[in-house]
Amino acid sequence: MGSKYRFPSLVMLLSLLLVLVSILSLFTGSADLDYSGIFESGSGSNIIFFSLRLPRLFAAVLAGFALSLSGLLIQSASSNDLASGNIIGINAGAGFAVLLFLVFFPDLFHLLPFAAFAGALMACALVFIISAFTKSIGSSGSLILSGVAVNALFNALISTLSSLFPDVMSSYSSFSVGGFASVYASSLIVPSFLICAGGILCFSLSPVMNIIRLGDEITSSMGYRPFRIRIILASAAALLASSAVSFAGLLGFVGLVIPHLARFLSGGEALRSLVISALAGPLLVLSADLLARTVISPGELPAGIFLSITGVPFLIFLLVRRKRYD
Amino acid sequence: MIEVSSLTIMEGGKTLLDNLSFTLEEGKIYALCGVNGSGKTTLIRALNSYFPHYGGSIRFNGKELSRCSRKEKEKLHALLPQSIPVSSVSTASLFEHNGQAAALLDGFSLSHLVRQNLASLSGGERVMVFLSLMLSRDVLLYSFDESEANLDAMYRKLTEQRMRKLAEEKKTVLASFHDINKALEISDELIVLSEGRLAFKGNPAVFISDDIGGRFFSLTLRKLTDDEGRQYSLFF
Repeated sequence: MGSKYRFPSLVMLLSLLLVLVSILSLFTGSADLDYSGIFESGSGSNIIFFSLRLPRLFAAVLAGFALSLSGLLIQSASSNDLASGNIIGINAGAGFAVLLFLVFFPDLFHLLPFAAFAGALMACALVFIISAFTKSIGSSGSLILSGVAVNALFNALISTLSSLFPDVMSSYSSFSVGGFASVYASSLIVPSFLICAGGILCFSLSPVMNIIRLGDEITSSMGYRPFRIRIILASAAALLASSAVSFAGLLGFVGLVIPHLARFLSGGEALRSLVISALAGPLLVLSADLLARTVISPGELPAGIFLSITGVPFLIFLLVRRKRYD
Repeated sequence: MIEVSSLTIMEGGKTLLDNLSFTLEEGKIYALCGVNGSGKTTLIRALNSYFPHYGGSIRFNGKELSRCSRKEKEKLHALLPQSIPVSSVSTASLFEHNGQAAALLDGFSLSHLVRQNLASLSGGERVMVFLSLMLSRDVLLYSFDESEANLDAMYRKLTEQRMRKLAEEKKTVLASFHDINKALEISDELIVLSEGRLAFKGNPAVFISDDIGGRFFSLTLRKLTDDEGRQYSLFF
């Protein structure tokens, strides 16, 4: 495959694209920026640039990073390429906890990410427990099925909450699709720390991710406890996904598509897959958000819509490409 | 030396292994036989730290398996599982953190597999890839869980030669077989399980003289003599 030569150039290319799209997204939007006024305190351009566009760029990059790494971790934890946070209910669990928290503690805004993490962990635990009752953890089919059930449950709870307390969420539909229209800089502080911690944890887990894909029996024979590894991977995934959900809503597809792309490009080695995901995830989400803001400018659509529009054909392409192996 | 005493494994209220006691010595090939569901895979898993909790004891050179650290366990056992994982990763990436494995695969004249995706390989090719991974590890006990089922005659022979080589290097080899005649041909001793209990442990000559094949597998023993006068005992 020659992946040894390909990998550095791939990383360079992705980084370059990420920088380009970042610059593009900073200087594109429904309002025209007066470039000379950007650094002039108090001017309209200054406010738009530093209070709207920069936080939004940061939010999209953070969400892309967190959700794609979380997807990779979930797929590793479940040994199933079909798993991702929004399929097996982790995102929905976090989303439900976010809404519940907003209903009861609307003032404790900064604690929102922790509530989201608790919700994601709860969803995660439910998925693992239900699948453990049906069959062994290694049986990834049962994990997906119980995940789908948990996902449906939490989505129903989210709908219930948003019907009972319509004022809590300014827009339920934009929350459930996911987007960055209502992101403030202050709502990013805690999630950015949590996502950094999750990212470090994630990269430090790459050696065990390489081992767990050999299956439970070989993993045990190498002295590791496969069940423990899967729990740790899933918890790290919950931390990353929930932090992103707390400010970006239920962004779908990035957690499914990017890990597929990363494995496809890296050949499956965990560290390389993580690096590619960490670059391609933000790139995809940022591009989706850029489209969301510009296509019907001056109005805007939730970024989640464009994520699905670009993500679905791409996923189908990857699946068809892979079909040749099966 | 691996000493198993009163080993009991329970899962979901079912007793999978019931009070097994036996000893495995270095430099020997042990064939593990038994009808489907008799506990062969469970025993191999138990000896490879698959069960964090087990009844009785498993001692590798006197040290209880459950008390060993991860690093210690890594030097104790390696296995080739019955179901080889299938995922869409490159073979090269599996070998990346394990330099020896690629050389071993090359030794089977299968180095071209390194450039392929694991999911694109045939069942037998995958077995050979994971066999190379297993052999690249330096441990006391090597277990093969019905590895021959997916292999053609040539790679079976290569695998058997490897088992013998491991035994010559003073390793312990435990391999489960469905084919009783193959087990008799290859092994130094046979271990027969029946409903999770130890039904027989002894060398091929005793296996034949005690008619274990007849008693546990409903097979008939035939003695054959070839053109050169060599005697063969085969179960049909």
